Amino acid sequence: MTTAAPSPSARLSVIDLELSARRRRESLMARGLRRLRRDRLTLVALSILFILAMLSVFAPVITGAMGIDPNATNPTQGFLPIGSPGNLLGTDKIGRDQFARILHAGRVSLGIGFFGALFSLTIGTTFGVMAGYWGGAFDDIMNWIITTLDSIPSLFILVILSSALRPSAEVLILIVSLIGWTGATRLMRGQTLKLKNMDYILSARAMGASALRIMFVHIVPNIFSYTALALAGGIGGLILTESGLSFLGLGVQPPTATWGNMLTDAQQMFRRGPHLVFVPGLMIFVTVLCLYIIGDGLRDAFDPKTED
Amino acid sequence: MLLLTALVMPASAQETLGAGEGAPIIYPNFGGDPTTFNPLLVNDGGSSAVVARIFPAFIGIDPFTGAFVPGAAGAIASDWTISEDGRTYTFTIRDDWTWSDGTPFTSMDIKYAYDAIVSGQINTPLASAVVTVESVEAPDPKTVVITFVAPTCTAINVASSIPPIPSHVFTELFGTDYAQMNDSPWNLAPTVTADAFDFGNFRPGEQVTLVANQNYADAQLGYVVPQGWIMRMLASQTVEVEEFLAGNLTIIPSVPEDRQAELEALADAGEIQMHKGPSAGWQFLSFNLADPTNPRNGLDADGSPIDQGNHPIFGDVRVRQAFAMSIDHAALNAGAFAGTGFPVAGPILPQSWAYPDSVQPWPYDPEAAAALLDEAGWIDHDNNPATPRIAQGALYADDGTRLSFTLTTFSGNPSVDASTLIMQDQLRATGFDMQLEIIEFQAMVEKFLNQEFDAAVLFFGLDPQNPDEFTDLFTPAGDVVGAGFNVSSYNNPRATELLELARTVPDCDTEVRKAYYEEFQQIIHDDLPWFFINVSIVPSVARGDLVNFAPTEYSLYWNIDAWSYQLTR
Amino acid sequence: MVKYVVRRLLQSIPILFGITLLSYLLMTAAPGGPVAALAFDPRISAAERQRLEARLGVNDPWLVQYLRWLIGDDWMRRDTDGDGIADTAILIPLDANGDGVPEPPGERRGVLRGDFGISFTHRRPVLDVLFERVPATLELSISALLIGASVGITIGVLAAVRRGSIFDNLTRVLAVVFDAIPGFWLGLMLILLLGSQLGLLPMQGRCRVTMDDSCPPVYQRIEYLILPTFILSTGLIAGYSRFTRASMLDVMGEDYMRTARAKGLRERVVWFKHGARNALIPIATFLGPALTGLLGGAVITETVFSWPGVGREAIAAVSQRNYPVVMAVTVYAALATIIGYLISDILYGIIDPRIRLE
Repeated sequence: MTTAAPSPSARLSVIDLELSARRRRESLMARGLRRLRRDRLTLVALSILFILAMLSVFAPVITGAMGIDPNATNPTQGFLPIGSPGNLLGTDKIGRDQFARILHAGRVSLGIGFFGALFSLTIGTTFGVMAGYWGGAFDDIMNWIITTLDSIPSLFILVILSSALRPSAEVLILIVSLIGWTGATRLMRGQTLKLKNMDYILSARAMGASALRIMFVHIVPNIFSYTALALAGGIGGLILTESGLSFLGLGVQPPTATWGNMLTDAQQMFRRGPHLVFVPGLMIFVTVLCLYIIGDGLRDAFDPKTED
Repeated sequence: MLLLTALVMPASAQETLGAGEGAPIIYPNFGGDPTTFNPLLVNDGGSSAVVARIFPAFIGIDPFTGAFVPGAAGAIASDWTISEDGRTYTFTIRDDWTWSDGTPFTSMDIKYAYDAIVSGQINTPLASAVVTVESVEAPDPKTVVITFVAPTCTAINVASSIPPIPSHVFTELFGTDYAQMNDSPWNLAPTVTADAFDFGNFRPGEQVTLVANQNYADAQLGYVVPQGWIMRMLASQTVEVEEFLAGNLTIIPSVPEDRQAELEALADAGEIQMHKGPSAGWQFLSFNLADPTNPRNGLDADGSPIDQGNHPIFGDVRVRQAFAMSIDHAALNAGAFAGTGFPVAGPILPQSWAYPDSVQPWPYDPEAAAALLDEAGWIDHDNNPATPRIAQGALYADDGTRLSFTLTTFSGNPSVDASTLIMQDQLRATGFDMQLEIIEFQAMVEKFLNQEFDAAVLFFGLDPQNPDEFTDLFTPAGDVVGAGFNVSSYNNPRATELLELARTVPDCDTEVRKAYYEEFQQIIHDDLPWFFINVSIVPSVARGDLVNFAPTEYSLYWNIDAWSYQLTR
Repeated sequence: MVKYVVRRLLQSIPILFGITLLSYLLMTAAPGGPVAALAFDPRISAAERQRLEARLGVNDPWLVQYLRWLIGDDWMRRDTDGDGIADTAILIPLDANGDGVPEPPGERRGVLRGDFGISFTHRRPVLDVLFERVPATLELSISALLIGASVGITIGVLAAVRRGSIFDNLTRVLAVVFDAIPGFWLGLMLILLLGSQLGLLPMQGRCRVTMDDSCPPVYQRIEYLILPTFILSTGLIAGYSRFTRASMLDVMGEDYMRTARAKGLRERVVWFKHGARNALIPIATFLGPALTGLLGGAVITETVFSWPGVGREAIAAVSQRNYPVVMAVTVYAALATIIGYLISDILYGIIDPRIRLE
């Protein structure tokens, strides 16, 4: 995983070093993008995810334009099948429009996945870089906390936390971030350890740059690509976690729709409304699959070690 | 009521099999393992289902009338007499039937049970049931004398809640150190029992197995047909129905609403048998009549009422009535209960002897509801019915307060989810703004008992034949924060008095008692501390080839020892 | 090596301590309590509920409860004059429910003295409840681990060898395809399809329904293992295959691979003998997290298939606020994880001589 050793000339000045580091990064980036353009599978996954994300982000605008309220009940129009006039994806048990609900649920599910993964990474990067750079007592304490948290199966902490905190979408983001940060911290700490003894960092220190400046100006940007990769992988995992919690009755509660709780609610009605089971399941499946493929593809494309 | 009509399909023309030749009855269970098979400690559905098959009752009911009768099958009281003053009941114990080890039933089997219950040392749910009992004596081995604190018409109900236990075994195991019973291994491996089945074994998380007891004296055919009874632990109702359709379950005692139509079609085609009866439980909504920000008990230590404040919205009965008239049960039934529900007027259910036809459910009448809200000082200030009304001269709310409140209920029940959502829309039309708070069951229970809600939806049922059980629900005695079930802080002295009167009618004349309960039902209906949303018809289904499956309105299992179908393989 | 293991185990003591403290705090902070779960019945009086609360000791402050769990309460409420009635108490009240009668003397000895307490719901020693569930969970986890590792590694190696080919893309998708479906839903669909519609596999449980108390050895009831193992191994297949593929691609750039190729070895030999062997080293580290993941994932799988394992009991205990069982499961899971990590570190040392454990 280490990058090529810095050239001897790089020892001349910090400015030079920074420039060369940046150049190397840019060339990696360029090479990555070039590789990515050839990876059709990843491109397809990216496009699908982009469309889903846009549909979700603009859900209120879209359903508003169609004149559909995702929460309006209509008890006499329950279990309408896919393709019913006015209800593109049919209706659920109490006559709510499934299309509108899927879009609004996507907002919540993707939101939990995206922000959960983003917050975990932010916390993880902050602590990981500090622990890796400072080492010593801070590192030991962080290590102890992380090992402790990692020794409890995460679903188990999730279950305890969710029953203690009654999750709304926002609370759930908080909970998964609180659990997810340990993995990110480990990853970032490892990367920092590798970078910390690089010449350009040593020189920066010799020039009197403050620790914070070194960490957040010199180290963090250099481990940025790992952050992006971890993000893609994390979102998919969290969408699945959300649905699992819903299954255990501890996820986001109705009337707020998520793909997970729509799927859970529909289980018992699979005879009367198979489309209610099929559609949210498909959404989760497609989204998570795309995210996995994107994660793999990005790693392939931006891994400096792999050959073309 | 038409709904009560039993629909029993004729069983196929098979012969009933001989003793122990029938396949085992396989019974579904989900939601956790049974926890004890000790009749004194039983406190959950799974455990009760097993205990009912292996232990006798003290006093039994006639499966065709629902009334307590002397000498009922599966019960050990052969007869009883009542003293002049109505306080003392003298029971005679049967001698034609014994415990599974051959020891005869004795009066000590009841006395020991009672002594253990009132000792305060065991984890039993029965202590509250016998508070009206003054003493239980066993003057001779076949006579039990129960004296009540005061004459009471629920004496037999109370007495019947004392379960007979094998006192000869318990005396040897625990003596009078009843506390030892709590954690005894005997509870999960009872050695001495007495009913149609004996205890076989228990594999936690998998199954409980009972074996036919051919010495059972009350077997309908003189012998027990099924070779055993097996409780299987299943994951969910969805899987339960699939397992039944695959022939891996003998019966489903209560069919989930969303699968009823499908199973009914199979029953009509003669492939399975179906029996329909109303559920003994209601889905109800409790209004908090008191100040939810400062919950207090209904009575102080001396028994005098405490000022509990008023709920700004639901403290006014007219608002509660307007609420009731805003609910369209037909729409709820179609959307939430798969068409299996019916509305009820009050807590007394149609299958009860005490049910008064005269009290009818609240009609769906949004205009009347709106008029009532106007009268109560909640006005539609912007002439837009869809926006919440605001207070202007309301009884307990400052002017300008929005007609907005939170409904608290528990998660994981699709009917509850659906019905509350539909109600939310229906209420919006009359100007109520109902916010939903759907939380995990234990959290909801805490909020409910602590009286910290505006309105709460729950589901449970009591013994429909004993309306006296409503005492804890609707009288100040049950208004105990954190523990009592009068969570509404409802206090209508006449309602309290009526329950008392109905309990103490001289000679316990049924018609007189019924008249008191009729007035009680009317008062609860008018005062609306609880709004009874729905009761569902809950069918049970059995295999098509199960011979002698003949449930009555009062008992599904009265002749389970005669249920018969061929072993395959 | 022994020194290393001992040191690691000693290090894990404060970790375990932290876990239990944190779990106890979280658990008791959750709304609702065991008494409401055990006695939510209008027929049970308020006084009775208070008595139960006192008996279970759940109205004490959480730190006192934690202390009782850790070191017992036989020193908290004692009977000093031998009449069987408690007369001295520290930390906890003598008469916890205020009915004028002292509660019985404390009997718990605490986890540190080997007493995990009595399950609130089962009224049996917690360790009995836990240990009768362990075999079923192990059965499922081990079979899932075996399937997951063998299938996952194979796919990963093959995909790396044919990097960029249709085969690579296909396996990349196939490996994660089942892992991208929520486990509970996939489980239910398979139950409906293979169990209910086609009648090929049993839908629920671990053994045949029988009248006697026997569950045959596992090889006679493989059909019961198939569906739950499949669901549980999908995550492992996905994880192992992606990890292996990445690791193989890493190894590919190494000098010894070029050397091997330069020596004129056949491509297949280069890949499998030199490549895969080295690529698999980091996978040993995957064992620890895999174990943790299995214990977590088993909660849902066991629930869906009504598999009588620890995970199903754990979720029931949380929802019933059965504190002693929740704590025991936490300790069990943490121990399993700590040991899992330790084993994977040791394996690492054995496979790769360059790494020295110290």
